[in-house]
Amino acid sequence: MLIHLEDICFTYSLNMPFETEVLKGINLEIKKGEFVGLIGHTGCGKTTLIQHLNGLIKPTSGKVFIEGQDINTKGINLKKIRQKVGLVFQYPENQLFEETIYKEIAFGPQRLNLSEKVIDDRVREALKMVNLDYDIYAERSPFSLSGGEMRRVALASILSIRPKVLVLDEPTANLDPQSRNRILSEIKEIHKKYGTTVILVSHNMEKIAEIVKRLLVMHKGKIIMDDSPVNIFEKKSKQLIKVGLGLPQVTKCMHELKSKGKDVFTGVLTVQDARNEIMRKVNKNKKKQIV
Amino acid sequence: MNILRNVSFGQYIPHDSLIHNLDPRIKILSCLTVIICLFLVDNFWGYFILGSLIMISIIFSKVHPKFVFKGLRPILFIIIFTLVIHLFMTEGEVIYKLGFLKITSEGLIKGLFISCRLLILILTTSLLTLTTSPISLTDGTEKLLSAFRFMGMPAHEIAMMMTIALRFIPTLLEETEKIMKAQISRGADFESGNILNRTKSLIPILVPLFVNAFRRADDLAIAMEAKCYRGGRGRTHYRKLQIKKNDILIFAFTIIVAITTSLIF
Repeated sequence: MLIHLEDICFTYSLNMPFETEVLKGINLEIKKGEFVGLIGHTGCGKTTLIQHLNGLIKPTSGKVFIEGQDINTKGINLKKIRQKVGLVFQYPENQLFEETIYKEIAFGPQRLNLSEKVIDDRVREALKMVNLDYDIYAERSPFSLSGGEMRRVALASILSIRPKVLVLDEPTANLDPQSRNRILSEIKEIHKKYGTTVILVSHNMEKIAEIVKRLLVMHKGKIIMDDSPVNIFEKKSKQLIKVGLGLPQVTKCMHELKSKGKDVFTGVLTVQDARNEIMRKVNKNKKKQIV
Repeated sequence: MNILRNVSFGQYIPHDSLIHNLDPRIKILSCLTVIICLFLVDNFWGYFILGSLIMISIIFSKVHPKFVFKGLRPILFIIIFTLVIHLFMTEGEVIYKLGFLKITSEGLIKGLFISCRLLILILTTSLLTLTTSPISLTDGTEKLLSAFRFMGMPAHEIAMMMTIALRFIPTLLEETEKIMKAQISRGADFESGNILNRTKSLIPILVPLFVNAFRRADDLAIAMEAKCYRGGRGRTHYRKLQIKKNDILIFAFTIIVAITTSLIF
């Protein structure tokens, strides 16, 4: 088991008047190579939860195991854990600081005491993973880039550590549709090519549901659903809306059709799926008429 | 990482109390009076009276003493440092000797005296900030400073700068914490190494922090311009400050206590 959370509770400002309980008993297991989406309304504790995964926050109670190791026991080298679990924060472009993109991406590997040659390889590889050309970008300043490019450089600066688990907090927030699709397809590509376990955090169903294999839904500090996106959208749509999360538009459309008396399958995620499902239905009706 | 969260010095704790509802000008002036008096008094009885005055005000303010004393914690080091320096560095009658270090009775008295002064000073100012929201604090300052306008004092501008600075302290703290966490996730290490290395390791925090702060300042300037901000001239206030009966009574009381204490002691 790659990640194993055991009854994680977390309270901000413990024993203070502003005390707030953010996580209320999270149990979770994530296997190697999974592609997981974590969705929930703003303020439900998503960001707090993922910061437990690399020891940035210690749980008030409960245990975090990474590859079977309890990461909050004394004497554990958290640096090694953070190398395994790469955490990309929200708006990661706000953390860029180096003079050139090369140095920016080399920052992580340099902390690992790797040789120049290995660092160079890793920078090239990371740039390739986010589809930025080494010759054009390596010597440019990260501050001269567009928003989407900056975010990809920030992503590359985590990828260069070669984490086993890639955790991304709202990787597509505030991007135009084109940059959003690019980043998502790059993440998908990294998952497929390198077998990296990916945890994608978002408050927006759209697009995320399409690419993840397993969806975790958080509400008020608890995980209330854990299933494939298809199952969740088909069976638990009402509950989703109740906790303030909308359905993707195509899924909503199919639910609408069903409520109008058309017997369609509602667990669709893409426009293509929806089209196929509707065509199937239409053809079936045609056949009936012919018979 | 929670160091940044625990800064309570200068924090405002909202409540509905006698002290909270005072006019900010009165509060600022009263604090000033107490502080001036603090430096005029030269024996423990005077401090006892001023200290009790502040303690009673804290009780009346309904702010939990925990907050008041938590604010003291960062300054405790300075107080202890002063005490120790005075203990060992004052010439006089030796009461205890430890190697080449000797404690004198004069040193003990002087050290305690200065510590008391610092303690009351900080309690007074933190009582002011604990019970006054940043907005009314700057409003009060602006009104008080505008008395010096004839000397060319830009009262409104100073108050506006104060407001903005106070407003952005928590934002910048939050941002620092976020950037620190992000860089730690990338392998940065702020806790080990010698001083040179530790100073170097601040670069990944400071550069993004400054870049973002400048960007924020730019945005703020544009937003203010868009809202037709034109400086202080002709600007009216939504909340008008008004001196009430309580204000006059309390201010008179403070002045009387301060004057008598500084005259007697």
